[in-house]
Amino acid sequence: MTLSGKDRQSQLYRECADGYGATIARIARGYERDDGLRADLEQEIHLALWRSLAGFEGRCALSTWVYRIAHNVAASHVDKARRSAPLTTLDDLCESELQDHLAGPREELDEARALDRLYALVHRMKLPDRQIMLLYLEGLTGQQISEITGLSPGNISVRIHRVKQVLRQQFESGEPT
Amino acid sequence: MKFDPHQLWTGQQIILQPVSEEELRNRSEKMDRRIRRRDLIEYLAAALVIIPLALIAWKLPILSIRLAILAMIAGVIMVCINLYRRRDQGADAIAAMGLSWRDCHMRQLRHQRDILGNVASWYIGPLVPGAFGFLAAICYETASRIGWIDAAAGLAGPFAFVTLLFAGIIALNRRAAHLINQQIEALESELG
Repeated sequence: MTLSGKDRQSQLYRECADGYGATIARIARGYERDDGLRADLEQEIHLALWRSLAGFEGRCALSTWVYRIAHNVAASHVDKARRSAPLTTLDDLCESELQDHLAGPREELDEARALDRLYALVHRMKLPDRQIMLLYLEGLTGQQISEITGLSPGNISVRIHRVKQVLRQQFESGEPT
Repeated sequence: MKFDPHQLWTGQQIILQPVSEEELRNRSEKMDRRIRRRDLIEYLAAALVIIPLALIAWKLPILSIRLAILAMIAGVIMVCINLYRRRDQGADAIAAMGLSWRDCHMRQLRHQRDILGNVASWYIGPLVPGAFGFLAAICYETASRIGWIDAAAGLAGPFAFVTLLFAGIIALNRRAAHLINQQIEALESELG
């Protein structure tokens, strides 16, 4: 028995919400630092996802679709807001240490402060570097990141290299385990 | 102390805010209603222009001015149709969110650039026959009483004003389209 359009939309949405709810929450947090606005953004992503699934034809993996919707909605949110501090590129971050109120001796970093530092770093980044950083942190491969962002694999690998460099500077942890 | 950013990121505590499908359906319908309401306001605004013009055209005994006003009305209707066709909403916009970021972002930028860059053809163009036809009709009717030179001299100011207004709108929009185009080119060269 085939599902009707609305049933299929519901089933796909449940699949997305169950499998990627936490990912969507992390992405929203990566784009919006204000708690109230972040909750709105998260809801906005869920709404866009729900509406979009009516037209999902399976031309890409469902996970790719979720990431694309989440990042496109969040990117529009950043564009509209234009209220944040000036954003910077990966190149600039590579060249200089992150200077913010969280910066301090690395030995004193506990996990919460380390996470705050990671967010401070992410929130300063321009698009599409921020997307690449967030997708890299989610553990996606270069190929998957390329599919989601639409950037060439070569471009992605150069940017991932810089992302790793920036993360190494900040956390001195080297390659992911 | 060292941290693995991957573990730090994926291991963070997340408090999920469950969204029910019922709520999403309601919000989706509310969004559609808001779009329809905005469309309705635009149609009402157009009606506020069209109805008085139609009444004037109906009451006026002068054929040339009546024809010019009818051209104005046709122009306003044409602009409304063009606005409706060029709006970036509905199924296409939703589907575009499922494109890659590059394609989605470029699509939005190109859409904005084309709307602004072509304002002469879809926004100003339809209004030109009515606006200048109206001035020409007044000039024609006045000339029969005070002569062509005086009639033309009297209308030089309004003619210049309308011309400059239209040219200014076109120039400002083209400038904005040019800036967006530069943004597109910069992105294309940056992203490859």
